[in-house]
Amino acid sequence: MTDDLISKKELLDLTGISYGQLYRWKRKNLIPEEWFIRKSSYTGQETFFPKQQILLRIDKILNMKDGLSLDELADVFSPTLGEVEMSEQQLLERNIVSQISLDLLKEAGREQPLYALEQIMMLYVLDELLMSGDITRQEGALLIDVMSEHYYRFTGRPSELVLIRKMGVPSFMLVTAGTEFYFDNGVKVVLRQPMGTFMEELKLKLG
Amino acid sequence: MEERNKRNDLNVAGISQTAGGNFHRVSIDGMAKVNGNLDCTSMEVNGTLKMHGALTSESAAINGMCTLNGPLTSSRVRVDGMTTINGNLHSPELEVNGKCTVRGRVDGERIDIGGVIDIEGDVQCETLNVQGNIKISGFLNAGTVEIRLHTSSSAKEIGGERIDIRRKEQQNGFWKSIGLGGTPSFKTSLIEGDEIVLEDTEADIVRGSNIHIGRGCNIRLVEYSGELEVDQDAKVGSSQRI
Repeated sequence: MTDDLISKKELLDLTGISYGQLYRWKRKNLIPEEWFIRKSSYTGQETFFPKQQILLRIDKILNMKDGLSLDELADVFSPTLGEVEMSEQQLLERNIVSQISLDLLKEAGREQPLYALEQIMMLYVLDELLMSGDITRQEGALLIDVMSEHYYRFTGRPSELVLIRKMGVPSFMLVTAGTEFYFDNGVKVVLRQPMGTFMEELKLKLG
Repeated sequence: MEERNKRNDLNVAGISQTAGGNFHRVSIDGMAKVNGNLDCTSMEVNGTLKMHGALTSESAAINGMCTLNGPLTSSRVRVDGMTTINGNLHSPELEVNGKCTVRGRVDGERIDIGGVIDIEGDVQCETLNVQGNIKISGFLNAGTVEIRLHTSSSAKEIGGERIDIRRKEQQNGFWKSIGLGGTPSFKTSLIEGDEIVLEDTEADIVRGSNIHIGRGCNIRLVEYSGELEVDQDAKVGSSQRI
């Protein structure tokens, strides 16, 4: 994933935005600082971006720009948690999570009358990963544990969710975004996703 | 936060040492040392202040000498004396007519420099207006950059929408008479922006839409997508339309 970078020049070519726009969005925190990756190339220092994330982000900014101000957009992309509370019924009605995820949460003994954004986020991640077939139900229970125990530690900071398996035994990790880690040969990284993307999708759904 | 009007004022007229805390108005006319964080509505330093901790204030005016070992957060900062901030500076409005050193990053909306500023970190703001001497060791990201060169200034890199760096038409008597700071010039490795106007600038790469390279410039590579004008008295290694 980290190998898939795009240079600034290619990015501007591809998206048709100007230097001014790119820097304005950076100032407004629409594009996180850690996405600007400096690397030396034959022309000297060049800036690169994580290709998939930046293309997705620019696409979102360009598509939503007309309806929202830049500051409102910044709210959507910021990793901080707002004030939201929803019941199980509301979550189901608004199609944010499915019954399966809620059942799994009940099995884990973490059922609540009202869910705050942090918990909705956890349910949403769980639901997305279950539905896409990336994880099993059993792994879902592990995900609930790691998210409810540790996700609050990353309040206001970008984080990534990592799932590894060794000889079929799964394990979840929450790490600071952009962290490097290495395992022995028996370990397979099944999934590595920035939490920010989940949060953006969720905020758009809630908003 | 408690109501600020109910707080006490802090006045130092002689020599004093305090632990910090929450105040309404803080005024330092003598010499003061603050060993801790200070949170206040307004801060005025006419004497000497040395602080170990963070300063949070709605407005801060420094006319004397000030050393902060910690970050400064304010909605308005004006430096007419000498100030050293060993930390980040966050203020929507910053005006420097004296000398200011920041050993951290600067975030603001409007920055006006009439004196000398030396910043070790990055700078981020909407408009930067310089009529003095500026040295940025980090990256400058601003909507509009307007620099009138009096002495030698520099930044590591510049990115923004409108970037305008020109020499001052009539050399100001003050800067000339003190004979400090060197000849008017600007040095940077990279400039990227939509509208770029340069004079007396030395840069490795300049990229943008509409670019004017004026007299006294020395640039290795120019990449442009709109129009490029190069003055006779400018040196451009190579230029390329992209």
